[in-house]
Amino acid sequence: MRISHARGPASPYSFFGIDVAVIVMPSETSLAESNPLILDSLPDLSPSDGGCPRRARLQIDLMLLAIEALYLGGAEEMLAVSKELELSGIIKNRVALWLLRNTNPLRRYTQRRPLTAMEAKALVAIACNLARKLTATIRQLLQDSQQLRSRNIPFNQHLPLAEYLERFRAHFRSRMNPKRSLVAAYDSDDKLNELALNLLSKLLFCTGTAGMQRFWVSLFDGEVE
Amino acid sequence: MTIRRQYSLPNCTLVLEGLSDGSAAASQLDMRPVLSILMSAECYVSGLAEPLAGGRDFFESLVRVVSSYAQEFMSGVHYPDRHDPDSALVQLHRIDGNLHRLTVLTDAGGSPTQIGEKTQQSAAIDLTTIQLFDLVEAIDQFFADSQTLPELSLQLTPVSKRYIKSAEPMAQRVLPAAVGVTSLAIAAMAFFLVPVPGLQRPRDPVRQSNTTGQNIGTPNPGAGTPNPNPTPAASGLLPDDRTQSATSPSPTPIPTPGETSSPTPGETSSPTSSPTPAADASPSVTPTPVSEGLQSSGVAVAITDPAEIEQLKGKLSKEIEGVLKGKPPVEGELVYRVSVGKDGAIVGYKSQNTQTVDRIGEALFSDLLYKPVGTRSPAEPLADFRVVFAPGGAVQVSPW
Repeated sequence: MRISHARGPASPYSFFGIDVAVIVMPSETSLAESNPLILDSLPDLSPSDGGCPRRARLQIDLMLLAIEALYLGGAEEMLAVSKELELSGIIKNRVALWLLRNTNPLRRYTQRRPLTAMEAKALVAIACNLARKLTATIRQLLQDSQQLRSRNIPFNQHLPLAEYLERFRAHFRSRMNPKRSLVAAYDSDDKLNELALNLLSKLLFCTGTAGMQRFWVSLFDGEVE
Repeated sequence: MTIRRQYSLPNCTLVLEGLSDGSAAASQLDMRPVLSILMSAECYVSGLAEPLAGGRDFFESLVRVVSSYAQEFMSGVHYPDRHDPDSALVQLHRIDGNLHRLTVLTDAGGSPTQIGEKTQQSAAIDLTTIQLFDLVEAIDQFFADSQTLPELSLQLTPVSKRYIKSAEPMAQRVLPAAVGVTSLAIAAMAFFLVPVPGLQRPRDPVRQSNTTGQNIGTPNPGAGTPNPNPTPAASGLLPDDRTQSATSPSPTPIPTPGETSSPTPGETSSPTSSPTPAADASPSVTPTPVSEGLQSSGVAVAITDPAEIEQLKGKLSKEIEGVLKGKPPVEGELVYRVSVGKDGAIVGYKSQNTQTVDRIGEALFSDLLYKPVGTRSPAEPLADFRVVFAPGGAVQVSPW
């Protein structure tokens, strides 16, 4: 698979042979200099200074959970990527990452601390970066699930897809608090599979040229004035 | 010369053809010219024989609708079309999680000059999520390309709260509040029917009600409250006063502090009344010790062991001599009867002199008198001694 431009602009990033154009958004270049460069492309949308909305915290963590299910050692890779993107100032170590992800209200060990806009941006950047690296896998799994669905073949007939779904279910059940009604709603394998595939297609959108902006902005839908 | 820009993805290819604005091209020497005038746009979607094609209106509509639909897909929040939804040339609707229907109203003539005669002929394609993503990505790449229609750029803004609220019907928004108010009213009525619980006054401890001489709280004091006062009467100390109090609490003589709680053996020997140690401690400081201990020594067990008596005698005389040191000798002979506990403590004394000039002895014994600090066993055995102060300064101690 190769995505090519007719005559693409100079591309500093190249993943799996996909040239990704850099988008310069002139309106957002005036952010504080101390912030990592990659986060400058994300606008400040937090309604107030009280941290990110609930749905954003939930969604970011679920996306990271899906990445972990896609790729063994995903948690380690997240730390490596945060170093690569020069986000170590925000996510200092494994524990800090764990604490940030536990701002998800559905977690068993949910933290009552807010997720600041900068921390959320860092997590979004990491998720999108990892998603881009996994583009081929994500596309393949989605394509396969589409075909299986159209032929009415259960997902467990397809090994890679079954593996992803099983790992996602295991991660979800071990980390989310079953007493929360939202978690309790995912009581069957089918419902969790549906959620896993839904997250997978969202991850696909994160892999795009403007995937990071799209994901970031989507977190605030219906939350701003 | 026409410029052709192509954005290819596996399932979707976007082809734009247009012209360059002369002024912009002049400034770009080594770079590709800017496509600023769009002539035609074609969108090839895999599985579709004919491309979706149109002019600038079609392209702008496509870009706007697809971009906002992608956001809607990611957040699950519906994006209201801020433009007129009916006149939009391109529409996208969700069929289910994996299928998205793209509807394009095509011009009848297919020529840009006949746009006014638009008919409702439409082409509808069902896109899978991957096809949709490829379409979005082609459009994002077009947005990212600053050399093609630079006036069109990616504008992402989250949906405002207001749109979400207006999407919800009024009845649905009022329902939770109505349910809350109703349940509060029902709860209030239910609580109104529950009788007020009667207040039961706490029963005062007996000791307190007696010392104050009033029985306010207890509904039937005679039957319900055990009165400790009758029991000391049995010991024969104050028989007249105490026996009355059993039936009629009001005339109970308010006992003086010294009487009620001095730790005399007579009272303490009765097992029922056990004064608290705190009450015991205070009366012993009274300047005039009451000599009840001597009178009641018959009740308490006397120490009979001669060896023990001898030992106590030695202890007592030593104590008295220690205190007597440095004091002027007495003028006449003074005789005292002194009660001593097993440990040698002086628990009581009484002057046996007919004359009343025994100031020295009083002062002496008040120093020596045992001041109970803790609880002293009520039935403590005692030994009585005769203490004689001779005028010469000598002290003679002998068993009584």
